[in-house]
Amino acid sequence: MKYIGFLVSYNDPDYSWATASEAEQQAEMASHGDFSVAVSKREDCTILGGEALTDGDSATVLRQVGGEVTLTDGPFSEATEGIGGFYLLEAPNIDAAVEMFSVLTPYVVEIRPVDDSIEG
Amino acid sequence: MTDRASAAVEQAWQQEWGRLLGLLVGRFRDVDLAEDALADAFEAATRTWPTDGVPSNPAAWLLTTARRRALDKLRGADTARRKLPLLVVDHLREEERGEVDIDDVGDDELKLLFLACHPALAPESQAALALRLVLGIPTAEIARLFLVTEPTMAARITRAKKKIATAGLPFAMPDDGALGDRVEVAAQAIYLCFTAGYAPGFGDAVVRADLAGEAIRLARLLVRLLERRGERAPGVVALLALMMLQHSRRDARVSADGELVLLADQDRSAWHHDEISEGLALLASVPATTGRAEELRVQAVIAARHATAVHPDGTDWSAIAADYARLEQLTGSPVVRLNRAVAVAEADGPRAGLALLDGLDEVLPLSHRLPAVRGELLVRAGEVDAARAALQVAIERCQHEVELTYLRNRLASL
Repeated sequence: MKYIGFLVSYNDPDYSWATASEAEQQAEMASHGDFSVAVSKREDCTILGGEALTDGDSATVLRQVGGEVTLTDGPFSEATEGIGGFYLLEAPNIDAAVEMFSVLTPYVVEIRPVDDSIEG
Repeated sequence: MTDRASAAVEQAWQQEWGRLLGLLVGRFRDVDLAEDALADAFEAATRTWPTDGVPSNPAAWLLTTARRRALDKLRGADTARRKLPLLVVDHLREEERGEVDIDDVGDDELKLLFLACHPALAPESQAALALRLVLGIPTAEIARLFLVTEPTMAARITRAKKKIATAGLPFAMPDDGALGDRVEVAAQAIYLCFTAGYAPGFGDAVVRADLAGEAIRLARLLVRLLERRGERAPGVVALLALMMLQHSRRDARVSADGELVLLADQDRSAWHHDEISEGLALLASVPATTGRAEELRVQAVIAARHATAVHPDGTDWSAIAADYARLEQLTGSPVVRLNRAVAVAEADGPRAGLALLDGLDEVLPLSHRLPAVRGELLVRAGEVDAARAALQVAIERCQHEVELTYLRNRLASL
């Protein structure tokens, strides 16, 4: 199965990248390396993709009503504002996905299965 | 239907549902298909056993019939109806298993319980699914037990089953490293069933005792299945002991007019003493431990001290007060402190109990039990006016009919 892990927030509510010390930033980055290593050690798991995202201030929302395109500055909702990045992970089941994403210790992760039924 | 056939169907439902459903889910990887097929098999048993006689191995008959029904459904037009992906199962066992063998129980029943009690599901869904999948209790009955409408419960169960399939919750034994945590989650779901049965809330005491009884069946099953694998689960054994000791008092808790009877006033001959004996034996087998298992064990120790007092005056309140102090240390719970205050008042007098209530109002602002306890202790301390005021607050907050009647009577008696 494919799972997306949205890094929706930090487990430490007082932490932010902008105010973190260099050592803290390195520790955060290191968790991504640990994640990559942990996944590579499992034959049944693969990282299919993943990116860091710029913050919600740089978001643009595109809407179309009656063929007319309108743009709105800012993220679609407060919930999406905090998403700092995502991974697309191949894993045999939710337990394996949880085990892998739990290596990313700094983050609250929302795990969502990809809907295979609409593929191809 | 003949009585014998009817009793055999009922007995098979009571004893075999979870085992048979586990085997079918493992084979067909589709909870809905397996449930439908098994329900069809029981329906066929209800029709044919009275005329054809009860088969020599009822469980094997039901399994064969259910498997055929499932295959028919898969071959037929029903296949198109599949809306959900197949369950994830352990691949090894899936390949091994061509046919379903009644004696090849393996861990399928345990896997079914772990699937129902997966931590990715909401606790109330876990509890409902465990009752439905493992004990075979119909949705209408589960709705009645949890005091919600049948459509509400049906929607809750459907949503949970959909998540099981779409989010890839596995039908598999947890890894050895995760087993302890998963057992604890299952124990929590079972305890949720039990406390929903006895929680002060709305509803009819008799219905609630039924739910507590089903929670005990689940805990007993979990202990048995883990022991068969050679796993020790002190937390689940402690939970089973706790529930049995508390549940043994069910017939004495409510009077013939439906009024709540306090522990001290209960007819102790109406307690189920065989269940108390079993609860005590279970408890004796659990060593002192740590964490959640220790919390359950200490709670069971307290229940055991009440259960073994032949007369209320013989209750060892000093020991119970010490148990609650330990439990408070483990949990940090204000509710435990409230219970501790009651025990300390019994052991050392009402003033000592009242002193322990200080500071609880901020953390339990909506509790009716806090002012009820305070009122009772104030009565005993001779402060009747302050007691009246506290009982009045308790009455304003209380929503449980039986308890409300008790509080009103208490206030009127002052």
